[in-house]
Amino acid sequence: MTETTFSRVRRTLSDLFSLSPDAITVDTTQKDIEAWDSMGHLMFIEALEQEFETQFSPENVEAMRDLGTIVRLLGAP
Amino acid sequence: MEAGLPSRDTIEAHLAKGEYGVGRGMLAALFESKPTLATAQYVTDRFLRSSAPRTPLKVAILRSYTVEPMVPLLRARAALLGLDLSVHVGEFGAYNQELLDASGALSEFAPDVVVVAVLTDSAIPDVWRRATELGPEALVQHVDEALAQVERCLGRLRERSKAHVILHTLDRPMWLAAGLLDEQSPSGQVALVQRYNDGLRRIARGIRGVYVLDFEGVAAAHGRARFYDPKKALTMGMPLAHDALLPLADAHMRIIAPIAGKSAKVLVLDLDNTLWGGVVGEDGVFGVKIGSDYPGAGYQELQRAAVDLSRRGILLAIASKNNPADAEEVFAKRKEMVLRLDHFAAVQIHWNDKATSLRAIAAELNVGIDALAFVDDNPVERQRIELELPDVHVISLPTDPIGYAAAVRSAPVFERLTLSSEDKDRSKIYVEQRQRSELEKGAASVEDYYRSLQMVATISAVGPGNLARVAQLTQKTNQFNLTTRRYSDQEIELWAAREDARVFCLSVRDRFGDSGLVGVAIVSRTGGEAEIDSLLLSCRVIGRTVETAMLAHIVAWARDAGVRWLQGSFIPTKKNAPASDFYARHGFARVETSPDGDVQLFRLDVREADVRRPEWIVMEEG
Repeated sequence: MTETTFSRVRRTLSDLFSLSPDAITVDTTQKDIEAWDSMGHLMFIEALEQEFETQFSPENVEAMRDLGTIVRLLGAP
Repeated sequence: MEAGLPSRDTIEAHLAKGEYGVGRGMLAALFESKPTLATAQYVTDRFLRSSAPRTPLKVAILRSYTVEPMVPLLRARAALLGLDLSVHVGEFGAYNQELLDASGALSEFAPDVVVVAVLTDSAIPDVWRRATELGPEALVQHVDEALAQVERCLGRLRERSKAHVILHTLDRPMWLAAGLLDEQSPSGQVALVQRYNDGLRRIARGIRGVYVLDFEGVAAAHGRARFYDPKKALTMGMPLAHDALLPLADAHMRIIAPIAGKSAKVLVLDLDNTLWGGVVGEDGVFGVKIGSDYPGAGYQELQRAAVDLSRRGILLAIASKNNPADAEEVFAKRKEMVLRLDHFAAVQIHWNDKATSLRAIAAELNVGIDALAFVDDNPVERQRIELELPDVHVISLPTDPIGYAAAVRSAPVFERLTLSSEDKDRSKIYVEQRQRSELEKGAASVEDYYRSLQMVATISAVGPGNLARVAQLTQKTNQFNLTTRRYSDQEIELWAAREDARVFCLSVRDRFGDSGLVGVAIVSRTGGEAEIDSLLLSCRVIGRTVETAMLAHIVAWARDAGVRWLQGSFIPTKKNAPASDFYARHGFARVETSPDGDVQLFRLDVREADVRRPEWIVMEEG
């Protein structure tokens, strides 16, 4: 069973902020989620780096404010 | 999903059925396989929504840097131990003001635990940045002033809060400013950081409830090169790398668990493939693997860990499915064994299931089931216990025995913050008790058993050396206690000072060991009458007839003092039934019972009394 990048991002986000995965789509942005504030952003970036075993550049960290961009930066699948 | 791991659906199904022990074991395995922030949050959410009992605990983290990514990991580890952690994180770099401020957010939060997480660049900035520029005196003064500030802040916190405090030690810089020359200078960066850490430990020893977390040791153990992330330090104020977060969270749990009382009192060990490699029933006594080479060394190392824990006051027990004779032979004949049977306070070796064994061990040692930690190589046995006895601390072992000892040594439930002399002796006392029971089983009659014990009872007066113990016995003894009157140190001192009263202290030793001061009687005298105010016996020596020896001594004293009538009351409680027939079986007559039956009064005619020391007890006066 291979999970898509989107579904891994969604699970990371829903686990981290205790959200229902159903409420999260590829269009979800930082503004839609209350807990995703500036500290929340740092935590989410940490969590994504752990999930995908990668490190983001400071420029990408700035840009990763919506799920579409995050999935694109992480690359398919 | 990784092989062998339970799915989230499986975990949630167990939790929904109320099987929180199994759910906890599975969540722990899930977290272990992928200890990320997201998994941590999932584990915490799910477990705290289950029916498992939990204790709330408020932890404030005062800090000089971004500690937030560690918090979910800490909460997950705590949740799996039955702690519901609320965490308050202080403002960046404001730790000193927050400790001093009696009316700020910290005071409002009313923490149970305060963590002060500060890195070297904040705590002693001149050592970090100007070590080659400033002179030795200035640098030493800088360190000492920083320590004085810590002490002042903690003093102020103590004026308004009983919170436990955890202070982080400082780590040395990765690259020393003076390079190799640092070692040659008494005011090098390494020496100055050491000076600060020594000072911190001195402060912690001086203030009750203050503990040191060896941050430097954690960084060293996991490797400085992997511990820090210099780029994130600059871009996000987050100097710790991913790899640092879990070790640091675990280091906190090792202090927080004993603070919150999440402690195991007994380590229950399996035998085959846990204490030695192989199965003794199949491989034979000389076929099982134990020794100094692989894999025997892994088992030997676990045995050493168990011995170390027993010196911390943790009792050892065996729960094994085996023929007792086979197992005992390994202990007797294999010289490579570090543990001997007399290290164990309780032994359950038979073919019944292990839940039965664990219940029997808890009952025999008189502890709650949640005071047991269970170590078994077999995941099926572990899960059976998680299912049937969900409050037992089940410790997972890795598949390779080389990792067994570390799995046990790293468990927070075995950490102790202080060690009393009673803790150090506890193991010995229980082991002696087990040897007595075995002797009793083998004795032809109970009198033979008493004789074989070779008991010596010593009666002494109360004094500065035993006053605290006497008071403690009046406060803690419930079973063999005739009146259950509780006395403080000061009240015992008053009894001891009275001309018309005597405090008799009874110590007992036998062939197995010294039980220490285990009995107290307080008697007052008015003319020809004496009144036994209190008479009690520690449960350590119940059933060995020493109460008769003590009473014989009191009666002899009364006779010498010209007392005609010796009076005593029995005040029934929920727990003191073992003492209910004490007066009747020593020839006292019941003279009165209060209308509600709350107090029964007995009386002995000293002139006609025949209370004798049992012939198997030697009496001494101390």
